[in-house]
Amino acid sequence: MTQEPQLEDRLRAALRRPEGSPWPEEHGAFDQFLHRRSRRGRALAARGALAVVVAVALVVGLPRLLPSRPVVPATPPLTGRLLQMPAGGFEVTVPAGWTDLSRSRRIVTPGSELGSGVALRPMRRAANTMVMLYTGTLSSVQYPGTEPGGGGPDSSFSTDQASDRLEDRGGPLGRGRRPDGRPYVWQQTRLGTNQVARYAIAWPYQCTPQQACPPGARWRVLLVDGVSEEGPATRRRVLEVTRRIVDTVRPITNALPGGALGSVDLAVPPVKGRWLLGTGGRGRGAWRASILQDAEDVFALEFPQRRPAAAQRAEVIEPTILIAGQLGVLNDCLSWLRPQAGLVSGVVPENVTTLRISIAGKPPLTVRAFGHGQPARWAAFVSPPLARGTRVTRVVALDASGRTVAESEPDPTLSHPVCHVFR
Amino acid sequence: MTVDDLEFREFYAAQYTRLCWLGLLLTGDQAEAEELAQEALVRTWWRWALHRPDDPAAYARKVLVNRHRSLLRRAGVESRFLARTRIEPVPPPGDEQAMVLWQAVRGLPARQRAVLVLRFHEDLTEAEVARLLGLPLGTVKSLAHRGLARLRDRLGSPDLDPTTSTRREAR
Repeated sequence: MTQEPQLEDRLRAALRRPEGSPWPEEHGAFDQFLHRRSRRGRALAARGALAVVVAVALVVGLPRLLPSRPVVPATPPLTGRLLQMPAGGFEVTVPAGWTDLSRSRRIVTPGSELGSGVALRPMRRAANTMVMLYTGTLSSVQYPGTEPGGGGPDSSFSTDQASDRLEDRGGPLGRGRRPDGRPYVWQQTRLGTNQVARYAIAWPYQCTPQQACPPGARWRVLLVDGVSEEGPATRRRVLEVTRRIVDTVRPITNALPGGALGSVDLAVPPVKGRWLLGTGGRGRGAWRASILQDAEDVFALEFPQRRPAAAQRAEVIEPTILIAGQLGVLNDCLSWLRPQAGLVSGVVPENVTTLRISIAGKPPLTVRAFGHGQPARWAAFVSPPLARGTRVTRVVALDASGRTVAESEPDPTLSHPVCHVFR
Repeated sequence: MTVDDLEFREFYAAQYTRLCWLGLLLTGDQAEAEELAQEALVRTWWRWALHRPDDPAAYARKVLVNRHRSLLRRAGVESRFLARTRIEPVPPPGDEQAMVLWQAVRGLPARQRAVLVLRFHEDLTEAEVARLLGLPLGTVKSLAHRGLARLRDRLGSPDLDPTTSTRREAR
């Protein structure tokens, strides 16, 4: 009598991959891999640059905040003493058992600028344990909340964090809101590093009508960093104090409407920021093209109407490619539209006025470049929606006289049919 | 950054189809499977560049499974919509009974399907599946049990029983 195979065995057999059978579209897969790998490299480089900016700021700032000899508190311990930092626009109550270690009026680094800072440390000696508060204007893309004075939510600070979970060497990330409504983002750090937690609170500089407001003033944040090289108990304590400070630190002077101090923070060099080049599209396919300037220039194509969440495509601009007469072209699929549609977009030098997009089996499209005359000194282009399956073969950038300025570089994804894989 | 290109290329050649297959079993969609496999291999390459994982194949599988979970979480609504409009995926070769079983697996809820695929396609233990999916062991056992029970139910139904359909055709 033959026994009926168990369901588990049948399942194992049904799910087994047939030996030696290739994947249907294996041909060309490695080329796609190489392209995707280099794209990810550029994205990582952009993130790395941002991390370097923060690290440089800390490295430059820490020696000023830390005395070279063992700490002897300059001021006697005072419970609940109010400490004011007018230039930074904040006042903080020094927690019981803590004292202020050092103050710095301003820390300026090549990649960023930081306003006023103060470091608080526990009265009991603990290795490199402190909570630092300092205002900074790191980048508009890091701003934790809604753009002051209007604009949509800035989702770029923590986009894609869920998918990067495996590579995230830090701890959890999140968003919150203070009792007064100011939004913040936070990150805790796992054991093994001396940083316990970082909070970045929206702390926009409030310029008076008489002041020439620096471009980055509205993107100012108040950074609250908890640091300790001690064990878990001290780190927990530092985290608690950091959280309490985040909830209780108060805006003063230039962080209050009409309360700006004329010449303190405005003396800092103008920061880079965000420039809107243009908008287009309709409905859920509406887009907004911008240049984000930080350590590197980034071309961002945002889709604020995408549901369930807004989407952003950001790519580091590589000027060397453009100088060499090549053109970096992005080929995106708006997978949330029905029917799906693709967009071909990119950044071009300012002297480019039109682009010719060649499409397999169809007459070429002519698209106008836009966004000229911006401080960012780049222009951009975005094609009309392309039907799924459209195969773009070449993009040529032309100046006003019709002369070729740049051409698309050989790129396997450009010639890949729209919305086929890269979506 | 030192990655032996030749070694990684061999790794890629050995793993691409395997990962695509795993992606297909998890998603039921060929394009999504390719997307997941490519992303997993890219992330594995970058990890390799920093420090070669002890078991690169297991690492790539872990990236793929986690990426799939993230996508499910982040785009639940979109996925459900896509599931309704999705074009029919490439069916696996095999006999009619295997095809019916495979289709029944595709019809399972995502977590039950993931547990069964990892248990019976990847031959992982329940503890390994629990670690990979970040679920308690008891939950994995329960999902496996319910998944198998549902498969038994579905295979018992006339729609999915190949012998029944053959009989009907023969009449």
